[in-house]
Amino acid sequence: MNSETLLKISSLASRDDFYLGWHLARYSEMKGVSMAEVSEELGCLPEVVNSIALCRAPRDEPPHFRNDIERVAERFQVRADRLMNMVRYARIASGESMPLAARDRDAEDEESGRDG
Amino acid sequence: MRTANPSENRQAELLELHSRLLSDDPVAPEEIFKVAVPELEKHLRMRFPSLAPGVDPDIYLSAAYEALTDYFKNPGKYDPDKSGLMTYLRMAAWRDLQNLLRKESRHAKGRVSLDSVEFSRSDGNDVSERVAEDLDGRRLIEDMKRGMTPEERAVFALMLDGERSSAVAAEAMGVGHLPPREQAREVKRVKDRIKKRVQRGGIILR
Repeated sequence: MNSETLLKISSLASRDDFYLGWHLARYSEMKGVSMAEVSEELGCLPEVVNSIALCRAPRDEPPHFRNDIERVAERFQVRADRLMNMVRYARIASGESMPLAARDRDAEDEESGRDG
Repeated sequence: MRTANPSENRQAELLELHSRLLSDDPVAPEEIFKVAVPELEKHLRMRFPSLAPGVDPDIYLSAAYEALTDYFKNPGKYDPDKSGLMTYLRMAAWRDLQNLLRKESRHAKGRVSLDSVEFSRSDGNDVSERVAEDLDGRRLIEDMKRGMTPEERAVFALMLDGERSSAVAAEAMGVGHLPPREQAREVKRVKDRIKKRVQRGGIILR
């Protein structure tokens, strides 16, 4: 898939919360940062964000939530902690509830300075 | 020992991706997109090469995206024993393209909101309709009238005026001398033909 097609498909995926693209787009909008800044935060090139956008969003349940994020982070060599924060931010800011256990566990991770 | 041919390798690769999708690998959709989108887009372009003027050429991509998204959300609907994954996806993308083209066509015609047209039946003959009085609607109606026979045009004009009486329609058709039952049958026949024309014209019947 060429980069132009990838961009178009990831733009479609940014409209459906089934995809990580939706979360990254909401994070970018609500934080007022560009997608280039999102890629910088994740520690990857901008075109990699378009690929990440096509991954399924993490499942809500705590063990799956973290595992899914880590799987994506590992595949694209991006920072899992940053990706997790972006997803969490997008969900909370969009009014989507997150399971309490997932939030608690993430908060503990942040306090202990874990980068994922 | 026989080595697998490229087609078998490809099928094996797709089945492996399908199995990862079933086991909730969040990365599987991204990998499937990259394998399937170019192929689906090419297939749709070959099967339906001529888009009407004004139709977004990215409609092929949109159809591929919709077919894949539906598959990702319901991977269990695909049965590997029945067909190859790409065959399944091609069929789904083709259906999605047809749906998108239908939507596009309605949009292009100005989407005469046939709130407008309503077909109500009491005795089986009674059809009434009101057509929205917007410019696109009138233009579409004029286009449809051009393809009608004189008797269809006469009945259609009555329908647009909200005239429900079969007797009045029968007079307009020149069959007012027939017994009421036959009048009703003739009127119904013409109204059914008009209804088909109206539907083909992209008008939504409610």
